[in-house]
Amino acid sequence: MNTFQHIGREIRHRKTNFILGLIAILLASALFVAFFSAGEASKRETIRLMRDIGFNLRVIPKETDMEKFWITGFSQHSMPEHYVYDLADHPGISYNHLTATLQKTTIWADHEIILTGMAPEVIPPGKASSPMTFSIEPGTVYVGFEPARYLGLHPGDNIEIENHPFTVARCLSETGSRDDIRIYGHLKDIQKILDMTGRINEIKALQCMCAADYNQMEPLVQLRAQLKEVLPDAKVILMQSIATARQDQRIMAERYFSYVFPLLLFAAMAWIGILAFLNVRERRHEIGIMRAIGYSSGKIALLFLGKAAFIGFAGAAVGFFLGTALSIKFGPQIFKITAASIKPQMELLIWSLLGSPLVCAVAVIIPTMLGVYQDPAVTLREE
Amino acid sequence: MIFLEKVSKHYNRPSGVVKALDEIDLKVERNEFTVIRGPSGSGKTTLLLTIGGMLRPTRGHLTVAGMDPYNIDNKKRLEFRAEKIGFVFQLFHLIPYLTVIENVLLPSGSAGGGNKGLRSRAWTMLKQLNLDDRSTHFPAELSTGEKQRAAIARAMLKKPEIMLADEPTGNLDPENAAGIARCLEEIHQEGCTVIVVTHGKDCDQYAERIIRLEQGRLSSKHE
Repeated sequence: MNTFQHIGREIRHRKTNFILGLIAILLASALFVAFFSAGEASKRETIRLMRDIGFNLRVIPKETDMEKFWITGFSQHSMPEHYVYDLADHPGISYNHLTATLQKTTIWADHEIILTGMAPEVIPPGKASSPMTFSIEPGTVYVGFEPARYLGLHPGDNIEIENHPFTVARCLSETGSRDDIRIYGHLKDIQKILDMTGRINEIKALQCMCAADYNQMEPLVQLRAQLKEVLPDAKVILMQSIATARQDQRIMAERYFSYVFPLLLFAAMAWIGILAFLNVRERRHEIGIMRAIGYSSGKIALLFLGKAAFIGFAGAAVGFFLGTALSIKFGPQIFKITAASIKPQMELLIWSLLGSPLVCAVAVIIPTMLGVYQDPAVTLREE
Repeated sequence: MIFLEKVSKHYNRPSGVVKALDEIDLKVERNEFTVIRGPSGSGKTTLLLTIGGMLRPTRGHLTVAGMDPYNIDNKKRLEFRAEKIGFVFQLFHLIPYLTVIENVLLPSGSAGGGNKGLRSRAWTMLKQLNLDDRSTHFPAELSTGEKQRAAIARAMLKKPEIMLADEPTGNLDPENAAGIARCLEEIHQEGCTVIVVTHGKDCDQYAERIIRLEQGRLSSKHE
């Protein structure tokens, strides 16, 4: 009788011990597989959302001091205006709206204002799209709530900014934000006022994506890499979107599971270890007689380690199918977009089949050693 | 064959030192049938396990089948037990999930060589001990006498030079006890040195020598 047959016979004889061990590994394995199968679906769903919705980006000069940027709301540096057209013309990048702006604080009529030059929105050729911001005619300005209030301005009034005449086209209502002290003009007009012809300090890109294989890399990582090639002197800030919120949620769930999984693993190992300890205790006379008739401690240990490895293997196999079934059954209720793509992850089966027997064998090492090195003379005298 | 010189085995207990064996001198010749009798706690089992290479003495020197089992490495000691010694215990210690034939063949997986022809030897042993019709039965399906005969068959599988039996009839009714005593005598007749430790008299008629052990000391010997 070889070792495998011996283990098989013992398992058949002590079914309860085997089944209890199997259940522990099966549940741990099923949860592991279910989480990662559903996790893959979540990842695909995020990618799909990102592909459909895209990223909302702020492109600013590379040398921007970010502390000042977040305090003032715009960059103190500038970049070439043609960046917006380079971006629009790049075949590998898609977008729905591009807007170039130039912003700078200045004193006007004894008050601090933010002069904001806005270029006409760039939208993809042949794509009808509702404007995302103001479309300002050259020679006209939109005046923010505060300047309009303290100067008593009304649409049609003529004003002068740094010796340049403008007609007030619109007085904006109160927003409760920095926008209340802005005066918006056409980009070319504001460039002239600020003596910054051909310069801008921000591009807002809405629903921006790059044409790439999203299964290979995170979409945002790829987009950033492409933008770096197209706009070498710019940096990109991501504005939150549904897709990024979903991505953050997924990453958070993964981090959470990275804490929970070791605990789960430890609990399963402890359970297997306790069962092995009981098994060793129950078989102490068996161990004793085997030692008496000349079995080596290694050969006896193999009976326990082999049994544990078999429990791990069987638990992983059954757990894989259970976990996959759970994710296929309940996954579609969570991941509606990619429900159809929740499928068995064969690499998880391989990892489970390799890892689980090893984990189980490690879990029973201490009880096995206690059993193997117990003095057979003591157990055999227990008459 | 077996030579013990001033062999002692002491156990340190909270209540003090227990002298399980106290300076035992013993010589057993090849193919001798020896009974060691004594009350419970007299050190009979300790003496048997010491001779069998399973319990290192605290002091003294012993030679069993030409070697000191405690002066060799662990691997050699395993081979010594597998090849030279056959053990039989009062509680049989059959493995409950193996059939009778599998239990008898259990030593075939142990250390050492000499494993050729063990299957046919196992069947011969079962026939000799009237267990051939029980070969596929599990220990739980056997009577106590059958269990002990199966344990003897297992002990004899590798034709050991020495058979050490610890209370082999202790759990048996008189009829089965007599049967087991006869089995041991047959083994003895085949050339095996047999040492039986017991507090009963079932083996006395076959014994060439009966030794009395009391409080760890051999108190009397007679031929």
